[in-house]
Amino acid sequence: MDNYIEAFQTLADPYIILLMIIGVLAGLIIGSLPGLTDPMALGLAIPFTFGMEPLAGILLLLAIHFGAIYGGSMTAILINTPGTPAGAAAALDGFPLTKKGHSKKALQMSALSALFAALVSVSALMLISPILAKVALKFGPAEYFALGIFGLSIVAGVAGKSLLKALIAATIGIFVSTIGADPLFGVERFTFGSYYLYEGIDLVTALIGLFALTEIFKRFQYPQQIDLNKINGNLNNKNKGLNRTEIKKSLKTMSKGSVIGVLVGALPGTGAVISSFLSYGEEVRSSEHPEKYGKGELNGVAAAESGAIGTESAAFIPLLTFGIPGDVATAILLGAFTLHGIKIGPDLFNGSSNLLLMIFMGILLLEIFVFLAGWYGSSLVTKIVKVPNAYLFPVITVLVVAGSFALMTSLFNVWVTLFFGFLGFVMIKFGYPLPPLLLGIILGPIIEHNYLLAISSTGGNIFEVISSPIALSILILAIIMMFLSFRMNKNIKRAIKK
Amino acid sequence: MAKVLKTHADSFVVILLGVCILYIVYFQTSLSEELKTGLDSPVLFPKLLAVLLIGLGLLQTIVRQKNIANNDSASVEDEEELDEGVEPNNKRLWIGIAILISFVSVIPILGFLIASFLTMLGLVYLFKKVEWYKAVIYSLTCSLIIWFAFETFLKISLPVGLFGI
Repeated sequence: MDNYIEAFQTLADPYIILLMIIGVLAGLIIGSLPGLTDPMALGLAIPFTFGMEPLAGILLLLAIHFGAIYGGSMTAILINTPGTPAGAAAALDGFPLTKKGHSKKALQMSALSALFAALVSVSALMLISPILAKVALKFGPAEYFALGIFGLSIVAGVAGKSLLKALIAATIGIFVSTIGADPLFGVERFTFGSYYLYEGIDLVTALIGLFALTEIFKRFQYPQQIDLNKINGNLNNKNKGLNRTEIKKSLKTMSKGSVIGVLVGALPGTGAVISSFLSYGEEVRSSEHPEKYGKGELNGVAAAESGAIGTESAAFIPLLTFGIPGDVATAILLGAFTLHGIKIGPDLFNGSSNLLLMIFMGILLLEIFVFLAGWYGSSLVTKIVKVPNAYLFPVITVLVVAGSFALMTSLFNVWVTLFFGFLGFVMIKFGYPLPPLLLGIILGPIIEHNYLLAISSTGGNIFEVISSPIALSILILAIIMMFLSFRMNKNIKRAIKK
Repeated sequence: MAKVLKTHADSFVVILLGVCILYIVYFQTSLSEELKTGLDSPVLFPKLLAVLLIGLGLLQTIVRQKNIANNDSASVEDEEELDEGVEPNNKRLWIGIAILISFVSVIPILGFLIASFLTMLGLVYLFKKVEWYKAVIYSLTCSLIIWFAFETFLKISLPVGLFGI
């Protein structure tokens, strides 16, 4: 109980509260702007957390992350332009509601479902993570090696059109992680004598290039601006909000969506897009009036939103317990945790359990802020989406350069960022997805380090490494997950196209 | 031949990358005895990855060629993923890249503040023709805010040029 009081007192610090509010608003704005993505926002924000205490820095990033996911749904409902892919399902019924003059109802339903799902998701995170962490404490290098491979099964889920291309991207990512001194003997690899490369490629530098700079290059080539005519007169929020009956009617949908969100979110390689469409599909399937969906049904918004937001905190379960990121955003947050000296994994639940409790409670508080921002902040979002690219992207470009310089206070780092920006852009040009590349960079060291440790301890017997019961089970699970998430991803994409 | 090269350009680059990695690994191992063999060798992973890249590159070439031979347009992957229903503006892309490279190159000479101001000015014009005074005021204000945020709030010294700022 004392721990809870201490955590609450720390979180009640006005500085922390202010940071969270700023983060949520920044995330909401970024998420609502098509072209600005959640990973991009996180990458840009990481250098700003340098001088902060770990808790403050992590909460700011989480605030941006949660705000951005929700912001994507707001523009989906208001102008039929999802700021993030996860917001697409909310547009199916949200935008027809806006066209009917019920934008306020749709936004409030979206905010309420998001809060409901977030509470379920955080509860699952708080309950399940400590149990899994206890299991993880029994893991040795062989099991962590297998877990690293399991983490790579995410690749199938984020593969895009071609699994082959995703595998190539992941392989390149793992190769990038081998640059620098090797994890056991300190032998230099691919450094070409450069002092800067001895420590390897910095993860945050790479991700700023891959996700922020690539987006800037895309905007150079494909100017995209919201059609202001789409923002119609229904957005003045003078129309009626939700009533009690409507809230009561949607409780079952929210519960179902939240559970789907948690289950999907806890599986690596799935994420909010899959979950929101699964939840929406289930709602349509189980409804007595499926014909109403897609034409402005409030329960459609509730299903999509609870499905999407339910994944958010659940995605932290594999990250915090095993150190394996569940999606791109958690992969970036893993980099941020490392940057702040927080070692992710089961030890976190022993050594710094108070910090973890503060993060859990902080997430709860953040979700309430997101709810309030969603309930009251729609007019702000509609104003923000009107900001022209001409003013937005020059600032982001300079921030990218300043941020990557700040990471190591070296211009070499900026050139590395530019390199990854070009690499990312060329890869997208040829249809190669970027998330597998990032996952390769993150998981490469986990796989290699633990493999080398395991093989050394078994005297070079590879069969002994992979035949430990837990390791073998994880490896089999990895193969199953790979097929499952690839199929799920394909089915969802087909459904979106339809 | 040119058509084949164009169709499989990305696969060939992947294969070439694998070959280059293998070459560098063998060059390194020829210099150091401890790197040569063993399942715990520091170059084991790079070697495996190089072989994997070559294999995946070849597999992609074969699959794509097979799809073309079957005239299976549905399964031949689209190369350009960026088409968002808008005409691509390649000229603007190259100018943007040139501005960015110039920005990073001139930072040691002009310093971050001046270089960022000029870059922002260039990029504002690149995106939209706006009145010159608006572009100048906007670029100057934003450069100063970013400079101030990093120097004062984050306590990170951004590069100073020959003019001392």
